[in-house]
Amino acid sequence: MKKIISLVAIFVLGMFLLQGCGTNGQDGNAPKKITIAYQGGIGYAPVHVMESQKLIEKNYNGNVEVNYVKLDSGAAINEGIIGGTIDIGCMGLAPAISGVSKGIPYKAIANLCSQSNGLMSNDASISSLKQIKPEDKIALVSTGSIQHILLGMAAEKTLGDAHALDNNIQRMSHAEGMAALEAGVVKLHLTSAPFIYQERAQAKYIELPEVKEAWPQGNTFLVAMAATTLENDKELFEAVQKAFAQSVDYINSNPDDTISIEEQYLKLDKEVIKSYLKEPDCKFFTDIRGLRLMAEFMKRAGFVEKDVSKEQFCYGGVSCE
Amino acid sequence: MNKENYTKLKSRYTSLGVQFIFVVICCISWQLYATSRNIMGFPALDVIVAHLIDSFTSTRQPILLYMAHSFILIVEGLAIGALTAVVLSGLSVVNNIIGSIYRLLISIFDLLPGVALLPILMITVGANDLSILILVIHSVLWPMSRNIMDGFRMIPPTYIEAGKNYGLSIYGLLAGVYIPASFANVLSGLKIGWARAWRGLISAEMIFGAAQSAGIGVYINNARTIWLDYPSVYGAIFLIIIVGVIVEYGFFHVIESRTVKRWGMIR
Amino acid sequence: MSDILSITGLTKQYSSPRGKNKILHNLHLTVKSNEFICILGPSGCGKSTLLRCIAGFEDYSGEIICNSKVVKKPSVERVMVFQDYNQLFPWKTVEQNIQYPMKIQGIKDENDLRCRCEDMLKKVGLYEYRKFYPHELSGGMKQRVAIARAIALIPQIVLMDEPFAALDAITRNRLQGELYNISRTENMTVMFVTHNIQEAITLGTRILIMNSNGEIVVDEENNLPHPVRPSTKGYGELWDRYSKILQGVDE
Repeated sequence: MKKIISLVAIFVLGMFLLQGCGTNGQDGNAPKKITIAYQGGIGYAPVHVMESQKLIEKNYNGNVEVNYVKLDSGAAINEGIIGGTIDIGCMGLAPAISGVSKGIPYKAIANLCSQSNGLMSNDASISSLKQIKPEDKIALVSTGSIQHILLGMAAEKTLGDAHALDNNIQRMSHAEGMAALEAGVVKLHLTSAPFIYQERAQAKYIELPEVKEAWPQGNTFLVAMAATTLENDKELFEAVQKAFAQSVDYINSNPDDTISIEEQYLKLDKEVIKSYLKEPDCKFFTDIRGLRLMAEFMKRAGFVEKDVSKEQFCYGGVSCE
Repeated sequence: MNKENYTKLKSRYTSLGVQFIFVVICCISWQLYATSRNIMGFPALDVIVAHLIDSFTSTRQPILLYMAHSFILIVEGLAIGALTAVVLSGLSVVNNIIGSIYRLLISIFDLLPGVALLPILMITVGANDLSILILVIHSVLWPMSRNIMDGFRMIPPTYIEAGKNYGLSIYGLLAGVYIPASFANVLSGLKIGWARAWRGLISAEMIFGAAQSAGIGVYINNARTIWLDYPSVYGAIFLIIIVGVIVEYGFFHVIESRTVKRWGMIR
Repeated sequence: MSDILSITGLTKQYSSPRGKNKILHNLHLTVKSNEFICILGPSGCGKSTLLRCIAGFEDYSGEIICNSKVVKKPSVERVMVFQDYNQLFPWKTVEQNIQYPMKIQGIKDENDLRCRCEDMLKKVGLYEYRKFYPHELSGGMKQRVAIARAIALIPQIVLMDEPFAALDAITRNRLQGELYNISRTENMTVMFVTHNIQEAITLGTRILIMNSNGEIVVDEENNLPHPVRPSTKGYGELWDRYSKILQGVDE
């Protein structure tokens, strides 16, 4: 009898716990809470500006508490959105396309920037994708990342197979990859701003042109994806959208203030930040550029099973091509 | 078959029954919850199992190949680590200088998680199978050595004196008395080592697993980052659990019941 | 009868935080072949230490010569049977426990090993238990196996450190009888430490009593006819005399 009682107790407790997670009740008086997730780098400057200038709070007519979290990959942000702990996630265009294609409940609310990407080699005998041997390792931040997709686009164009270099990939964070390239642990490093600027500045490295050419200059690098639950709250949704537009305007019209803000987030010298912001590829704008190019490629190369249309990818009012 | 044996057998089957019912209840709760809420990150069991079975035959993601890759690495590392632990712990008995240095090494390295060594391994050895193998050996060697040395200390002195009395040399004593007398500790050290090695290996593979060294950690990471295939993530976790259970009951329990249990050294 | 063992000027001291503690002091003793010597004495008198020195487990000053060789380390010539039940290796069966020391001695022939082992097990009445593991045996059975294991090696001298002390009285009496008979049929030389007067009188052909300073105060032949029982003529007087001596030396 005791055994039956304890089993029933376990069952009831289990159901109770399962019911408990995920429910996130809000009553009328408490402030609304939203969580914005982003990653490391100068490309996330609009988020930095938004947080330091409290732009969402200013645009929302009511009590709102905005929580900013820094995560280390688009995959982690996707998982947060699925689990309901993140409302807005900023990530590379590629993981966002994968996410929409797979049915993660989010859409693009704004574009953040375009950035420079490139593939650097520390071996004088490798100056083109064609010279990469099977044992030569390419460090990049994560499989499924925009860097991975750009490598695939370059490989498709140059080698005829988007997955020709997949087995050469070695996952490392941008900083680790840079150290590994320096130490000679890997032969190649595919990275983005600002790391790519530091590597290009070193004469001993050779840039393989195919990756840089694979993605036209000025195309979208990072996007902000908002969970579909946010659309139900029209006022908050609009406040967020306005905040993104204002922060991009702020960066473009107040470069000096932006440098001061970035100094705190990136822990870098003002002069260095200034030089990054002056790079021709480093542009901040709110419309998405290159969605179809990337989505079509990803479908063609098998990175996603379903194509993603503009309507599926963006909320109405977000301009996109 | 006496009464004592019958009682033992009965309590064993009762315990198996309770465990079985518990697992069934968990599965039912999972299934009900998953189907009622339909969350992408919390797939239903039938979806997970279907994905898992699919991935056995899939050419894009043959999960068993990934698993085999990790498993072979673990077994290699476990064998090397266990052998080294036995030899070095034995030498510590033979020679006091080796013993005191080795005890110091154990107290230094046993608390270092293998993952903490990854950045150093990456720069020195490179991100390859050798790094993972070193990590597995690291996970096995220290806890196992600690267990063996503790076991050596707990051996009743009578066994050792009897061994000496019968003319065993120091190496004969090690093989003939020290190791069998502390075999329960050798086994529990091996179990701890095995568990730590799995954790270390999967963390390492998820953190930097190279595409060439395609282990189960790489599989999980691919499912997470490229395919966004959460049922496969769960499937891989289930497979890890299944392998763990098979090793626990098919290997450790069998060895235990044939040795230390039969010898009456543990219950 | 020839001398198996001769001890001259044996001194043994332990260092403790309170200074050096002498256990044995300038002890002389000669043991002849086929003697069954029982050593009585109060706790801490050094009778176990004496045995351990002879066995070669302890450093000592003075001289111990066994079979014309100076004792420096343990050897199968001087086999010890301990009080502790945990002297059989639990990972070996009864049979393996007896055969293992013989194998170490270089006896490789399986037939020889089996015959000698079976012979010994029959002598201690445990032949049916040869496939058992030690934990499946009672305390008395374990001690019988330990004795069989020691005798199977045909040592010059068997050293027994209160092997029956932890047994119940009935088992102890039975084992005493068995041990005495085996020791006589096998022509064994035995040194047997005990604190039990009855045991010493029953088993010993020669009885030593040590005082708490580690000196031998009694060394005499035991001429009572075997088997010795409490009803044997002379047993009572001997018991009383030893008891008084032991009370005297304990102060």
